[in-house]
Amino acid sequence: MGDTELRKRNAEEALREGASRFQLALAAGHLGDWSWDATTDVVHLGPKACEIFGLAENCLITRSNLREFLYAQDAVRTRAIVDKALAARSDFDLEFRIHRGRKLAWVAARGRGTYSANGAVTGMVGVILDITERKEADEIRSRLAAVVESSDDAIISMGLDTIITTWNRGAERIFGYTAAEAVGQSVTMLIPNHAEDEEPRILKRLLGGERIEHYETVRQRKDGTLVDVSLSISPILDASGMIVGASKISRDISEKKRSEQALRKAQAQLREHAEKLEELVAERTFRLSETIQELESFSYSVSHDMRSPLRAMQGYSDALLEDYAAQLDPTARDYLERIRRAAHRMDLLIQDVLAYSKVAKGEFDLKPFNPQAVITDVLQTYPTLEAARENIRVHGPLPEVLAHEAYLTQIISNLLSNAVKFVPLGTAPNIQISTRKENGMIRLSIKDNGIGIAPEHQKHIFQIFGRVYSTKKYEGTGIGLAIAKKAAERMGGSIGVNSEAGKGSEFFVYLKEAQ
Amino acid sequence: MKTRNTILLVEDNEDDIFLMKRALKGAGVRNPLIVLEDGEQVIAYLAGRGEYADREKHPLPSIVFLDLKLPLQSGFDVLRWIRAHRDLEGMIVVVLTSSNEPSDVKSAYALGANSYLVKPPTVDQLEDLAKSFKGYWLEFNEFAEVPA
Repeated sequence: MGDTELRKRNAEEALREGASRFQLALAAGHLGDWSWDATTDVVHLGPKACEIFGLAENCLITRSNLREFLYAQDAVRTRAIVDKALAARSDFDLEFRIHRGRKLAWVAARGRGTYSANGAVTGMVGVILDITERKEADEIRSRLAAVVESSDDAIISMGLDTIITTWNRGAERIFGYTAAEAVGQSVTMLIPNHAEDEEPRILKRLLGGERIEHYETVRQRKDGTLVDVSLSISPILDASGMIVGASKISRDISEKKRSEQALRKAQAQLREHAEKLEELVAERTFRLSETIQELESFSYSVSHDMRSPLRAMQGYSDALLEDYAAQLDPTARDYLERIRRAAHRMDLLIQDVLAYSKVAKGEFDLKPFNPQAVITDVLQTYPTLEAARENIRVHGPLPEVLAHEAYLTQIISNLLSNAVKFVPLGTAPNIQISTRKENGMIRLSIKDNGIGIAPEHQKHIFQIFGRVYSTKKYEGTGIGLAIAKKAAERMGGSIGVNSEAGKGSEFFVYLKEAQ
Repeated sequence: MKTRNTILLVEDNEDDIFLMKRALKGAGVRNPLIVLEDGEQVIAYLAGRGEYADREKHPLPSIVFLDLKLPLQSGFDVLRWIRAHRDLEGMIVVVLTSSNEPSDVKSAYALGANSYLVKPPTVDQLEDLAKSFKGYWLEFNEFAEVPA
């Protein structure tokens, strides 16, 4: 073997060895090699480059074909950079996206032109690298960074030495320090003097693997003022799972604290007012019940004490008339009769005033009653009515009403007594009782053929002692209709009259209908 | 008539005493009648205290007419006192008052009254009442034995 041949063989071997080393290096770097021949437009892609483009190994492809892989948005920019580098005979380094199957992939390409002796471009050589994963990670990171940056909460990270490593805009807004001022400082600068031991305690819990959530405390701003914050702290782990620091999220809760305080204050005020009101109500109720008690004892003493002298007047008059009849002349007897009658009238008055006060103040329940039953009862119990029973006609059946029996009895007995009483001398009473429904109420009507009431007098008759005729002509206390009116009103109804002098009267009562 | 059961009238109004005595007389009631005017006196009498210790002179009544409104101790107090003493449990207590207040009627029966009468306004009515009383309580009613 001659020298030349040996040299040639050595050179070929060296070249082969070099090429194989080159391929190993490329594979280690996940790099694909490529070259382009300007005359044929053919692009030669190494095995890794084929894989990056999603092509079969040893494929033959032109540069024009490859352009179709390029993501449209990156095409112009890529072309410009390459052309510029070729013209300037410099290296190019660019990143672009390609269609790989249905997905986009990020590719980094480096290369340079090859030139002929006269300077014309003969081709390009270079390497490409799949950077899709790195790009995606970058994107997530930048999105997270944007989230952190735009958060209203202060988001800080720190090492176990308490030195601040990151500081977002929220932290700047809440604490007043810029990132440049804060990073590199200890977080203890945010802790007010009185809470110095707080940070060591937090760190200890953190090292125990604990997360701290919504811990409410106070921090100090750059200007020295205090701010209420809610802290959430979680450990930062390194790749081996060791705790190397902490991320702290501080939420400004001064607004919340203020509203809580305002709410507490408002509640306290409300409580105070409620207490005052209760006191006032209790006091008034006490005074009212005192008044009611006084009134009750008053009416009690009226019924008990005022009637006893009357009984004596009547009693002694009776006794005189009976025991001394022989010694009394007609005038004396007449005087005694007058005393008796006056005492009797006084007794009726007292009874009616008592009845009125009972109707006005008593407590009661409304129950369903048939007015017919009450009418029958009244006709049987009242002697003056019993005589006129045949002159009273009830147009039944009557509907049930919601009433208090005693009050309904007062109304019916007073109206019927009046109807029977106020008739012209020598005329037999003729009384019609009927009912009809009107606006959800029962209208009970008692119509008579009596002397009637002139319109100008109709207003007075329902007032207490509101008499139209003298007691001499028509006996009575002048309280009956006032009792009836009060009773009707207390049962949620009303009373009224239609009448003309000399043409009889119709008294009507509105009462609640029993359902 | 059976034994002469003693009647005690507890009444502070002299007019009512007069009218009641007259009515009882008119009705023909001949039983011994004691009149006492205040609640304390009644309790002293029934308990046999002091001047009332002598039961010969001051016998226990079988029937008490009791007004409610009395000086010192009210009729209710007297009634309560009587019903608290088991030896007097057979004593007939008839409330005779001018009050027809439902609350008074209720309280009287709750405390153990045997009857409740409202004083009628006229002499005739009072005499009717006395007659009815005599017929029922003095002629038909069986009394428990009065302790000596």
